[in-house]
Amino acid sequence: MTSLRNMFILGLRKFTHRADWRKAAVAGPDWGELSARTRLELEQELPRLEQHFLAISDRLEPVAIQTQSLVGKCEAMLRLAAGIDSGNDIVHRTLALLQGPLTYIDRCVQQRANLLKLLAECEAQTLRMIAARAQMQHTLEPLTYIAVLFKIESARLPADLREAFVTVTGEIERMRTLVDESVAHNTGLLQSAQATLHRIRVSLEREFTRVAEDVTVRRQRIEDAMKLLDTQMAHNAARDLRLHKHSQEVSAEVSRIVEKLQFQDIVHQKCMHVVEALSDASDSRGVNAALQAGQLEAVAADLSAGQERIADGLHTLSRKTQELEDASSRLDDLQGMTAASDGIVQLLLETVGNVREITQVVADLTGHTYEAMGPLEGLEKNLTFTLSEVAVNMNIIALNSQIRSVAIKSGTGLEQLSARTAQISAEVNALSDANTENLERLGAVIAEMLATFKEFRESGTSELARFDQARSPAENDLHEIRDATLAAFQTIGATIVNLRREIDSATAAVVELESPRAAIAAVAAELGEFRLGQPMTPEEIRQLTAQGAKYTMDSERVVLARILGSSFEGGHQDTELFGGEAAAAVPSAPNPAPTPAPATSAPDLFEPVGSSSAERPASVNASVASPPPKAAPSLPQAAAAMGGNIELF
Amino acid sequence: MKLTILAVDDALTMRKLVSFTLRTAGFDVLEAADGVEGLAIVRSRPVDLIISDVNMPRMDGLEFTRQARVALAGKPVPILILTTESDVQKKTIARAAGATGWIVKPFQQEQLLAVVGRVLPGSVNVPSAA
Repeated sequence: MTSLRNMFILGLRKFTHRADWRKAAVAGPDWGELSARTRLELEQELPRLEQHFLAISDRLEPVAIQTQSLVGKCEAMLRLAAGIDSGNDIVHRTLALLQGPLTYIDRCVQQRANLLKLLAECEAQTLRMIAARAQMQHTLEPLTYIAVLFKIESARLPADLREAFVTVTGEIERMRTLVDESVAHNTGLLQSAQATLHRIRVSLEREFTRVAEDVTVRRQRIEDAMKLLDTQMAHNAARDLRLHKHSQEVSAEVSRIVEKLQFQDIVHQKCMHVVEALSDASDSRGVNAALQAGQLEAVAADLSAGQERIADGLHTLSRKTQELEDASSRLDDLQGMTAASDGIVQLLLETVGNVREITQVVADLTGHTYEAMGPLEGLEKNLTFTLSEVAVNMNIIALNSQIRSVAIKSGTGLEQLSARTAQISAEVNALSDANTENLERLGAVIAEMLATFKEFRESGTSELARFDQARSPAENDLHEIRDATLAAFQTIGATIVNLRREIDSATAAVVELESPRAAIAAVAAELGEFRLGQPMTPEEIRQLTAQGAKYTMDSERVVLARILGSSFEGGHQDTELFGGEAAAAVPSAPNPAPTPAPATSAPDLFEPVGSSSAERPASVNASVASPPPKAAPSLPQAAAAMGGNIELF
Repeated sequence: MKLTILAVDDALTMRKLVSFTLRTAGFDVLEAADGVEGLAIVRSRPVDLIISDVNMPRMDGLEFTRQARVALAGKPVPILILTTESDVQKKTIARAAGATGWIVKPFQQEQLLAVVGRVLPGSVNVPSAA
């Protein structure tokens, strides 16, 4: 069947070559021949047309899917760049993780000055106490010659009395020995304590200064990172809005292309109506020529408008792709921020490590200091005991010598020696009291520092334990988000390349539409020239009116009305949908009636808004073959969202 | 579980465009080139919605609608007619045959999805079976 038709076409073409045809037209073409050739032209062009439309629609789906996918990937990229994964704000969560250790470090660093001051005070105190020991020895110095004088004065006394003063001098000498030993021992202790305090103070000052400087620098970097992050968030919000707008525009553009691709079905049906009309054997004079020419002109106009709109749509999609590529290039900054070696993730990873290190250093420093200060804890008690003992013994010696002197009565120098011994005892007491105060102060300060360092050591240990527990998941999240950002960026690049290829391919297919459109326009022109200027008889008008009864589309009826010189008053959905866009899109055809575009608002639905099947006219429901109230679900939503070319029963 | 929509149209381009639009919205789509093929599908497996052209070879959309309603045996499956036809009489016939709605080609994607969402409430954003 097909080969026979092809043979017929070839034979006919040989016979009716275009140049020959034009000569024949001048001479008065034969309608039968013209209509046959037009039919064959259409039957040949329509499959080609369908193939080209199919080629475009085949490419549109991947274009639409990949464009939306690209928008989605850019959105995901934005989230990742902001450190947000699966709704989790990883960057801020990581920063929150750092807060505990940083607060601890800050607290330790803030105490630095006070602790160093206390240490300096302790050191000074020990030095004062060492000096007090020297003062004590100086105070007790006269006891050496007092003991000798006691011996001289008591030499003239009877043996029993002399024995009493021998005891006094023995006690004085014994106390001197005790004091010498005690002072030597205590001074050693104090010098050792002072050396320890000095070492601790110098070490703390050096280490704390280093840590404080380090913390200050890192603190600043973290604060800068947080500010940067906030800025990025603000930018991202704007970018997000732009991406949503892109997404909506892409959807709208794809929808417009889908709409125009449907012209294939529409023009196919129109052309088949033309073929059918041209097959009317009863029309021997070409009555149909002008009408079919008009229909084919409308088809060519439809195709032209469709071609133009599809090309525009693809161009717009191409532009959107370019914009998304540009946007992703700008996202590159964010990608850099997230994934690069100096990016925010890297900064956070380094900061996590550094904060851990500083916390450990501070905890160790305070721990070691606490341990180093441990031996100082009982120092004041030991020193207090020794000085008190000296003071008590001195009092006893003084009292003893005074009692003996009174017993001997006056006339000897013993009373004066006793008085001098009592005086020295009083001085020792005063020194002891002053020393006791110093010791109490030293003890209090040492206790305060020990408590502080102990608390720092324990806080540091617990902070480190908490930090170590949360650190690993946080670091894993950061690594994952960096990897995901890199992967997203690469995927976006690959998607853009694919998308470009698909759009280019679809655009090339659109160009192919031109050939069948031109062929249809050419046959329309040839038909239009037939009987040009010849008025129609009433009979011919009747024939065309009968022809119009077969039309299914209002756009076809419009052409018929124009040919007949009447007006079309159908006012059906099809006609009501004519819009400014459709009219503007068909500038090339002189009088075509292009297929209308669907309305984008003011829909006309079969079923009134909010009505249900129960509210429909009974006659309508009764006429439905199957039970329609059950078969057709209720339609609860407003009709206004549909479109003028839609009607729900 | 995705909802299934049967698209019946003799024009391959139309079937592709309808399928693409519906698949993008998350539906499963079955295709038939005419009423005979469409009816065979309706009789062989459940569908949640039918979208049919009118002018098709072998069996047109109006006859298909009639027979599909019989085959569906009262199941509340919406049938939408998607056609170039704007003839009032044809609409009346379609309505009497059990069609749920009438859409004149060309459609816009969002329009078609709005209609589908309306006849299958809650299906367009989250197209899952109840």
